[in-house]
This record gives sequence, C-alpha cells and structure tokens, in this order.
Amino acid sequence: MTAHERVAAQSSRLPDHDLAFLARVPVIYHCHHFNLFLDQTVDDALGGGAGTRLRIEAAREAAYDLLANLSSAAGAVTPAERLELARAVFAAMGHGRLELSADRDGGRARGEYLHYGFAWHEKYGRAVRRRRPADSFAAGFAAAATEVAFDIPRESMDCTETACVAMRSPSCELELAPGARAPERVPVDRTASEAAVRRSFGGIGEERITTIVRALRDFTADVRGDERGLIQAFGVFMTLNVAGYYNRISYDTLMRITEVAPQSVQVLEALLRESGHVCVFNTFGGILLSPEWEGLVGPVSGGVEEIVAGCCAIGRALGFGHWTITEVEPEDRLVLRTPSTYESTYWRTRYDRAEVGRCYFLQGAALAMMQLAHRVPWSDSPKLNQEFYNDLFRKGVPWKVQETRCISRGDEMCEAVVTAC
Amino acid sequence: MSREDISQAFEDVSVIRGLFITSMPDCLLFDSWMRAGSEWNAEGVASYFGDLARANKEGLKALGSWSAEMQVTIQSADLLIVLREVETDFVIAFVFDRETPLDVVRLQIKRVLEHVGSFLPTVQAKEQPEGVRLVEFLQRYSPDPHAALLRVALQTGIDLEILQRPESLTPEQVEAVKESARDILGLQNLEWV
Amino acid sequence: MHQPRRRDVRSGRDSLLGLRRDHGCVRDLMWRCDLPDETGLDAFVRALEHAGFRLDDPGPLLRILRRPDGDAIVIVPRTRRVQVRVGFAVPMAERAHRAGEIAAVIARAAGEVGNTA
Repeated sequence: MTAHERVAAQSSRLPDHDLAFLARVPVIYHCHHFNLFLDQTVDDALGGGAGTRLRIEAAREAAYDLLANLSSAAGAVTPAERLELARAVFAAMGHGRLELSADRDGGRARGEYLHYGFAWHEKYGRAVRRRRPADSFAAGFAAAATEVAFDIPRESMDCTETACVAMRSPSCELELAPGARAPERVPVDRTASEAAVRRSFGGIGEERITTIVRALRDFTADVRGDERGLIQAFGVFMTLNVAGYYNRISYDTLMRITEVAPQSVQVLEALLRESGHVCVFNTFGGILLSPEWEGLVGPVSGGVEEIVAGCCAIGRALGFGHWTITEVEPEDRLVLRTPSTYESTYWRTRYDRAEVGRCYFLQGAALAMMQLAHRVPWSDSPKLNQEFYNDLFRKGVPWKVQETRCISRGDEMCEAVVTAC
Repeated sequence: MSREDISQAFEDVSVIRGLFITSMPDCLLFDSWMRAGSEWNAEGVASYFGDLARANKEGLKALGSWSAEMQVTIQSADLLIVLREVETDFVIAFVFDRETPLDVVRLQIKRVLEHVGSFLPTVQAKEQPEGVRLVEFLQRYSPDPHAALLRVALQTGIDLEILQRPESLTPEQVEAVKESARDILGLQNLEWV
Repeated sequence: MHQPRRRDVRSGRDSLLGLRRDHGCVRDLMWRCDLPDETGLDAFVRALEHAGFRLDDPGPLLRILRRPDGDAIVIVPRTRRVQVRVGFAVPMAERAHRAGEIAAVIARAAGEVGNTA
C-alpha cells in the first residue's frame, strides 16, 4: 500500500453533514489565499511574535492527534516508520516536503516547497518583503512528528523556523528542542463533531447539488501532493489541513483581543470573514472555470442560481459542511443554512455558548458566493486574478452578510444571510 | 508653445508613446498625452512614477549626491522612460520606444522642457499631513489594498473611522500607523513618504 | 485541414490552435487551445498517446494525458475544450515556448486523424 493509499484508507465522512475526517480528526481543504490571509490576520492581531507562537502551538496540537492516530492505524511502530509516515502524510496533504533529523533531544528539519512559505513568495514576494518566517504550520507539524515518533509527551517539543524562502532564503530550516509541556485541551474529534452537529436537512436544488457533490468527491479522492508535495489545482495551491489548526488560531485570537482590545473585535471579525471571502472567490471560482468542472458538471452559463448551487456543492465536497440554499433572490438576497460547520463543531466543544455567530468562514463564503454569482462575466472567459479581485472592492461591494443563527449560540443550524446594502 | 502645440509635436514623432505630468508632492496626475490606442492607466502611471522620483531624490540625498538636474532613466523590454523633475512641483515622465536613439530622446525632452513652463502653473505646494501621505501610500502599495486599513486598525488599535480620516490622526497615532505600514510593506524606512 | 490561428498576445504573431493563457494560469503554467471541429476525439487521444502522452484517466467525462516530463493535456469531451498544462519544473522563461510546443503536438495529432468526427 502506498503512503497515499494508507492515508486515504483512514478517510471518513459524517453522513448528511459533509464534514470530513482523517483518522477521526476533522480535516478540510483550504487554498493558499485563505491560509496566508488567516495567518496574517492572527499576526496583525497579536503581533508577530505571539502570532507565530500561537500558530506553531495550534499546528502541533492538531498534527499530534492526526499522526498518532495514523501511526496506530498504519502499524508504524518504530521511530523511523513514524517519521517516514509523517513525511509522506505532510506531502500527500499538499504541505510540501519536510525532512526530519531529530530524536528525543530535538534536532533539525529542512523544508522544500513548504506550502505557506512557497505560496507567500508566489503571491506576495514580488510586491513586499517579508519580515518573519511563514511556515509555522510546518514547525508545529515537525514538533508533533518528533513527539509521536519517540513517544515524547504531546505538545512538549518546541520548533522554530530559522530560515524561510518567503524571506528570500534558499531553503526553509527549522530547529527542534524540548520545551515546556502545554496543557491539554478537550479533543475535537469525530465523536465531538457527531455530538455537535444538528439534524440534517435539504434546501433548494437539493437533488442537483447532491449529484454534483458525488462527482466532485470521486474526483477529490485522487487529489494529492505532486513531486513537490504541493497540490496545485484550479489556479490555487490547496492543502488538506486539520480543521483544529484553523479554529484554534482564529478563536484563541478572538478571545485574546476580546480581553485586551475589545475595540478591535469588529475589525478582527471583518478580517476573519475576508479570509473566507478570498478563499471562496478564488478557489470556488477556479473550480467553476476548470476543465474538471466542465467535464463533470458542464460549462458554466452564469445564472445566479446555477453559481450558488455549484458553490454549495463545492463547499460540501471540500468538507465545509452541509451547505443548503434556503432563499436566493438575484441582486438582492441569499440565505444559506447548514446543520454543520467545521467552525461551530469546534466552538461548541470547547467554549461556552456564544452570543453571536462564530462561523466567520461561512459568513465570508456566503458573501463571496453572491459576488461570484453577480460580478463575474462567466461567458467571457474571465481571469479571476488579483487585479480582478482588487477591482471588486474598488467598485464597492453592494452586499453585506450577517450570521443570524449559529450552532455556537445553541441554534439548530447556522444561517448566513446576504442582503443588498 | 501651447499645450496643443506640444500634442501636435508628439503626433509627428512616432517614437514617443506618451507623456505624463505628475503634480508633486501628492503624486497626482496633472495632465497626460498618449498615442492613440494606448490602454495605460494615466493616474496609476503618474502616481507610481511620482513616488519613484521622490524616492530617488531621497536616496540621492542620502548619498550626498542630489541635484536639481536629476533624471531617472528606466529601460524595460519595449520602453524607454525618462523622469525629469520640473521645479519642485512636477515630475514629467517621457515614454519612448525602447529602440529610440538617445540623441532623439534628449532632443525631444529638451523641446518639451523649454516650453512646458508656458502651461504648467506655479503651485504653492501645500504639503499633505504625514498621516494622509502614509495612508495613501499604504493603500497604493499594500498587497491587499481593500484590507489595508483594517489591518492597520487591528495592529494599532486605532479606530477604523479615524483611519478613514487620516488628517485627524494625532502625532502618536501617525507614528503607530507608520510602524504598521512598515510591517505591512516589509520596509525598514518610510521617512521619505 | 484548417487549423484555426489567433494572434498571440505576447508575440503579436498568430498562435497555433488559438493558444492562449487559461484561467488559473499561475506563472504561465495553464493554457487553452481550440480543437478543430471535425477532429474525432477517440482517434485524437490515440494519436496523442502515439506522440508520447499516457492516458491517465480513462473516464468518459474528462481525459487527462501526461508525459514523464510533467506536461499534461486535459480534454473535456462534452465541450471539446483542451487545456495545456506545462510541467512546473519548466523554467519560467521557457513556459510559453513549451506551451507552444505542446500545441504543435496537438495540432499534428489533430491533423493526423483528420475528419473522423
């Protein structure tokens, strides 16, 4: 069995909820636009040092459970087997190539084509100079891989990136050393997800969406990292990532800002939403324009209902939750509902009942779907590039979004409502 | 020589592709001429080359080499661009075909500069507040311009509404915005903005 | 056989089969071209295999052919859309030229099968 096959055999889904798991750990696909913008938002909020620290710890926590479970399932017993499994999983999930040379006392890791640093350089490197390393996820993953390989207590190994291609170094270098053990947190695994989701339901165009999802799932099952360990598709770099990473960095940051700078909470929320918006606009738009979509579903004609339904199908296929369409009035209104989101299952498991909606990705996604449905000239072979994206904002965004119901609040669903300004 | 005469002069010189006059220090387009069929964004060209001329001046000052006769020449794959400062109020960008002989370039620039004073006003440049210049610069060069002020607000704790009226920033807030802009753009120094 | 030509946006010259950058073209890696209407797809795919491409996905909805150097051709049978994917290892400065080379392979393969639609 190849590494990809071993990993794929541990994949599962929550029936009727379109949440994905790998070795019982929640996972989702996200593109480099989302990955970079979310990491950047965390750093903007907390400062570069604290932001980097949080992202490494979140990655370490998320990766530990994944690698421990996969090692157990694959029968990887020796440190060499577990390190090799970690290397293979990292690449198969589109994070790049990571070579570890470590033992119980720490060591080194070298990265090539690490997703965050490589993609940052591709997207921003010609326009701005980066002041800090970008690969906190790889650093946390390397730490977790070392812990699992040598049966070291979880979340006790530190890792620091000392050179990064995003800072124009020739390669990415990381150093591992024992550190203080982090306190354990309540696990957010498949069991917790099953407890958090609500009773499933359908929406407008359900049959067509379900058919598309089936076709997309068959296709995504074969998606894997290339020789570089990167997944380059639909005009973006994709990763299969542990949902806990995204949730922890988002919500820990929110908690911190609520405590020390409450006047900045709304701005933080706006940027968390923008992470979702930039992801859905670019990735979903790229999928809709791809030959894969054209072959599996048909060429896009550009109707509002068609685009919105297509986006719901893509969202489900990528593991974001069971998105359904409740209302769509062209130009004016879109109501998305879902009995499950990867965000609310995390919140419900770890935090007290929220007072407002906490599914920022869903909010940004709903707004992006409205933009895709109305502002893209689909029949004119559009280029959904950075210039086009910037232009959307230069011309003004004519809609706003609000999460009117949220499982985090104890509601029976999450609901995002987009209305004209 | 009137402005119309200059336009007519360019029409007869095939190697000239365009002329952009930037009002300084705000780097705003004052006027432009482009050969028919050009799809250049005149405002963008004027503002970016204004920034370039200003940065060039500061760099030369740092080298102790600045003079009022400064000229910047840029060669790309298909264009030759010459920036000349006129008094302290304007920067003119001359855009030629790449293969234009340098003596032709010098001659055409000389002809324009000799007569440009007849239609360029004398401007009492009212320097914009530093906060305004910083925010404009950031929004021009930030990689995600629509998110630039949100990012500054999050980094500095300054209210977004205040950042949207940068003329009202206090000196302490200006320093905070400057540090944030340095971080966002990856620059060590923004003193020349 | 008529092979549609369009102006190449980079060189100003006509380009083979209307070759142009496709959506999602990250640094000159993805291109699009037009297959002559009369080209029969099954024979065309066989001709590409004969030219060194290996059919990677035999599904009816999408045909993906790859060659060892990383280049790929994606064909959408229902719309006859053809996407050229230049291998990522090709240096940036050479990618447009490589895309043109692949388009030439496509044109030759289409020409070999002629009117078999």
